[in-house]
Amino acid sequence: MSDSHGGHQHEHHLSPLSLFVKIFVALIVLTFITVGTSMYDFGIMNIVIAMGIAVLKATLVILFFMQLKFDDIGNKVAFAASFVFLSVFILLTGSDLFFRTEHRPVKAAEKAAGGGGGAPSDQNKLRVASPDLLAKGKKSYDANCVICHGPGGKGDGPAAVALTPKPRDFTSGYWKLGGSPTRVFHTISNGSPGTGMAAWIQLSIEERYALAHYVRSISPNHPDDTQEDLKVAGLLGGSAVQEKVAQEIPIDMAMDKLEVPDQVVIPAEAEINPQSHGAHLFKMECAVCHGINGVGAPVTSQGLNPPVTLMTKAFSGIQAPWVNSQGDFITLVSQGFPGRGMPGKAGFSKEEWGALHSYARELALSK
Amino acid sequence: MTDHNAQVHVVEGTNHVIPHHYENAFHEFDASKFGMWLFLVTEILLFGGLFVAYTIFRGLYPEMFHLAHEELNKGLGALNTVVLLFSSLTMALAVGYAQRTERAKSFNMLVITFLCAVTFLVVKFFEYRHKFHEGLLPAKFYTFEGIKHDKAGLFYSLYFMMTGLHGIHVLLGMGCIGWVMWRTKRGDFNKNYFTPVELTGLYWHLVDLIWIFLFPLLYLIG
Amino acid sequence: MSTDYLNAKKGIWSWLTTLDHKRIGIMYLVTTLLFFTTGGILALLIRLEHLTHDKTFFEPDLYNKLFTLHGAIMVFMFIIPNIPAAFGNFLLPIMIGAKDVAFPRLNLISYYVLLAGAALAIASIVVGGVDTGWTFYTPYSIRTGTAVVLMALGVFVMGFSSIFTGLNFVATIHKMRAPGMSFHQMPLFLWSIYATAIIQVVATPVIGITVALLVMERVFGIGFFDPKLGGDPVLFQHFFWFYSHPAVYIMIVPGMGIISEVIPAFSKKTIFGYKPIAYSSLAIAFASFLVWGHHMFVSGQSYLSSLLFSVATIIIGVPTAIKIINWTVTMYKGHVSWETPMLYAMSFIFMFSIGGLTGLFLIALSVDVHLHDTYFVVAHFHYVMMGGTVMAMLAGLHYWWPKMFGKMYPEKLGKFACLLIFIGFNTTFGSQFTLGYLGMPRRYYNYQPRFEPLNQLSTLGSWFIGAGFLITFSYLIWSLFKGQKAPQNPWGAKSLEWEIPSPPPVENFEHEPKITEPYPYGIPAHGGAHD
Repeated sequence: MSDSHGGHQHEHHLSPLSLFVKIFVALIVLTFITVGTSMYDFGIMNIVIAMGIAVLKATLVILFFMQLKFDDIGNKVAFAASFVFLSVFILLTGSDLFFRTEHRPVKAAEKAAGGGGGAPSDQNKLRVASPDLLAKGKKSYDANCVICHGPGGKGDGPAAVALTPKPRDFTSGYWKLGGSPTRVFHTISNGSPGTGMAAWIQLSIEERYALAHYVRSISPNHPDDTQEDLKVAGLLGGSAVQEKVAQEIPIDMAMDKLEVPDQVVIPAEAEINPQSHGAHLFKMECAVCHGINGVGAPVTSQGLNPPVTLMTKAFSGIQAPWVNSQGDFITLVSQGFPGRGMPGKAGFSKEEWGALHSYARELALSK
Repeated sequence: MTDHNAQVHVVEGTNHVIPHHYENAFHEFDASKFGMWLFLVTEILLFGGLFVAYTIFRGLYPEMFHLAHEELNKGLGALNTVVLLFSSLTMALAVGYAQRTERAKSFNMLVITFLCAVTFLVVKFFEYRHKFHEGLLPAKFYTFEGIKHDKAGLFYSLYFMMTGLHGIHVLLGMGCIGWVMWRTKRGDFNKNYFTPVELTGLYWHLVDLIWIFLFPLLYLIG
Repeated sequence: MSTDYLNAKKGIWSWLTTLDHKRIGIMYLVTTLLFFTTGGILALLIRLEHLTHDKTFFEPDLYNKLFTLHGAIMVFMFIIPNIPAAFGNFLLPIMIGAKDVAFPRLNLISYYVLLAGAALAIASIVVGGVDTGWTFYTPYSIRTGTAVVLMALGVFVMGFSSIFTGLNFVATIHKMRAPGMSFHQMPLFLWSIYATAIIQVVATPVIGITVALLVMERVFGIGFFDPKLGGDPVLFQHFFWFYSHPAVYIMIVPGMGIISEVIPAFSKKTIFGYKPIAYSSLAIAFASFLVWGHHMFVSGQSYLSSLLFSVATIIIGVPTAIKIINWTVTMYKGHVSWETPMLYAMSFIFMFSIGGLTGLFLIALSVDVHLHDTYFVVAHFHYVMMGGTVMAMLAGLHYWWPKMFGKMYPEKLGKFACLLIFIGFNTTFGSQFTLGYLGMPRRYYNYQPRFEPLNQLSTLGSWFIGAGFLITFSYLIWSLFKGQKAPQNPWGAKSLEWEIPSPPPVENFEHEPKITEPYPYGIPAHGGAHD
């Protein structure tokens, strides 16, 4: 670099003034061309022509009116760099906004596997266990599931330590979301909301069924599909009851949600004991999920993948230890209910806990 | 460092004092011009944000852009383009005459440039007034019913943001031109010292440059 | 013999209207350190609130405002202007053998623009504060009733201060170097200031247009970022991070420059790998524009974007590692002495390495889903920003204190404060890595009771940091009046600023400076006696 102190002998460059007039004429001609071409429809070429001419005009202005052609290399590099950075800005932002929909690997895998749940006939074949499927299932289990569920299916894999709630111990025979082949398949495909169990939809349908058969074979309790199960899975003919769960919150859906102000609609008269302190607290803190009067409400868990809409249980007639024990109630509410999507809620004073508990109790005892 | 602290250097033929930390007049000119180019870089990126928004929304809603742009007045847009290009010419000539110590001609060219800028803004004013009457306003206040697209307000947000920011630059440019006009009249510049004219010229050409892109992007959507 | 710059003219007015880069540098130093103290007190209050899992002292609304202000003050008013504008202004012209920066008047204007922006930001506090976090994410920032417009205007105005400073420095380095001073003879601090200035010039206009659009969004409802009007809130994040990620390098790269000065000076050894360190600064500056989307992995941006940004971010680790390796090798077989600046430089390498390496966890797409918006992220960037930049700032402050004010700071107290800050910092933020990994989300008012012990540890650490800074600022101010007079070159360092008296004369150089190779310490023979 030798531009230090700018070379003292340099003279200012003098362009002949007629050059400016020539450039101006060229610019006017280009302006008429660009207006003219815009009258005709060349499809995609319209913008190409318009931008091409704009770039050409800009180049003329930069090189001659601004005299960059005769200028220092430093000035040239600096000005050119601004367009490089601007392109980076446009391209990388575009890589998000223009590629949001049809790129998702999950959806691609779905497509490869033949649509949402695959043709019912295929599934009807796959939901019957076979030695071949069991072997495949074991292989897939060892590759994908051991880390949490453990080699023997006892829920004691190395990652289990960090998880709350703990991964299912298959040898216990308990199935939270059902133990029939289609139910287990459904759990593998969609995950278990509120737990560490992810949706394994990137696996092929066959592999997911193979896994279902394999984990069922570990369990001492492996019920067959009931008619109800088959109906839910859409394997009985007719339309499937089960809605296909979106894999992620599509951005449009998120925006729709954002548009709606968060408001709890409160029916004024019907409220139980509306004046009490407990009712007020319940309305502010709990009613969003549990509904007014604790009648239950649909809750979409946006933090989960996939998002799942659950109905909260109605309070009325509920029988649980917390109904009669304020201590249990406080423990439950403050720590939440991992695995059921109930977040912990603390920050109440002693009086507030009392008021909230007695109100919740009132709801539980109501008809 | 060849000069001594007490000594004051004045550019030959003017009363411009070379600041003490510069070696000579050309050193000052060279550094100032480089600074101006850097400033133009920041201007490009300032407008860059709007160009990014434009690219994104046009890519997402191409048919809306086509429908919405038809409410703009192509003729007035083209007229303003010609006015700005002409002002760029006169600005370049003003710098050229300043470099040749032809002060009167330089001053006249600056006056023409200034008048072009006024013309541009007057035309813009009538365009804006028409849009306001029609309700072609930024998204939230958009009330026009002639465009069959529910997101047409976005186009007018872009239109007002882009032409508005450009308009502010035209105003600032007029301020600078007025200032160098006054100094030219006062006889501050000659062939050895014309840095303010040169820098104002660069700025004014940038204003033209931005418009060269705004015109087809807003008025000439095919 | 002309008088030194501190005493050349007297009175407050002579300071407020000065065009001398050294005085402007000192004004920046004082101002940014005042902001740092304010932001630091806010941080102590935030930690205090987290002493218990429930309400400790403040209401939730106040808490939200506290952390927003802490972020905004620290980022926009302290860490971005601090090293470039304060140290850069003071040192840049001297180090290249010039009398001043290219545009002294612009330099002073940029200082007042910073003050004006800060005034707007402070006004936003007076009318009720801002509760969006320093990132102003839409759509919340469009809808919240707090004073977002004022704060955004403040950021807009402060942005111009940053642009002017950057522009001035690029022009100064290009056009003002003394005869014989080539790019490759500049101290590495200047390479990092140069890289920083480039980022300031290129990136800062974008935050300007971003917050301007946010204001327009609130005032005129333009809808770019408002889904209700057809816009896209995630687009705001792209705009915001196109500036704010490079801005992270505006914060850290100058710090790296200070470390490149301090380590050879206290190892009495030529810097190892001059060119790799110099060019890695430029590489970081350029690459910093390609990685912003790694803040948005869980925002709903496309997989393509996430993939591109993740890969680019892995690449930016390379130039950073080059620097750390070269600094370490520079010390190898040098005559290392452990004065306070060197201790801070060592703290920098230790904590910045942790900060950098935990960054690698966060840019792994799958891991980030778990760690995003947890205290792990808080710990990560505090290790980089405070463990990195602030440590470097303290190293530089102690290293150049004698040059700036002609007084020595008390060495023993300096070491003690450094120890306090080091212990306090690692206690405060080390525990936050664990908290984040366990799932404690950032920015929340309450937390689960099981996180209480680690939070209390963290709060305890923050008191150590506070004490450390209290001691540091006290002895520095004390030394101004009662400190030992500093010799011209207390450290035996070899860049140009040590060739002139402490404090420097107004015109910087009495005689034309002699330009040599950078870092002419030579390489000491093995086993040479220590001085």
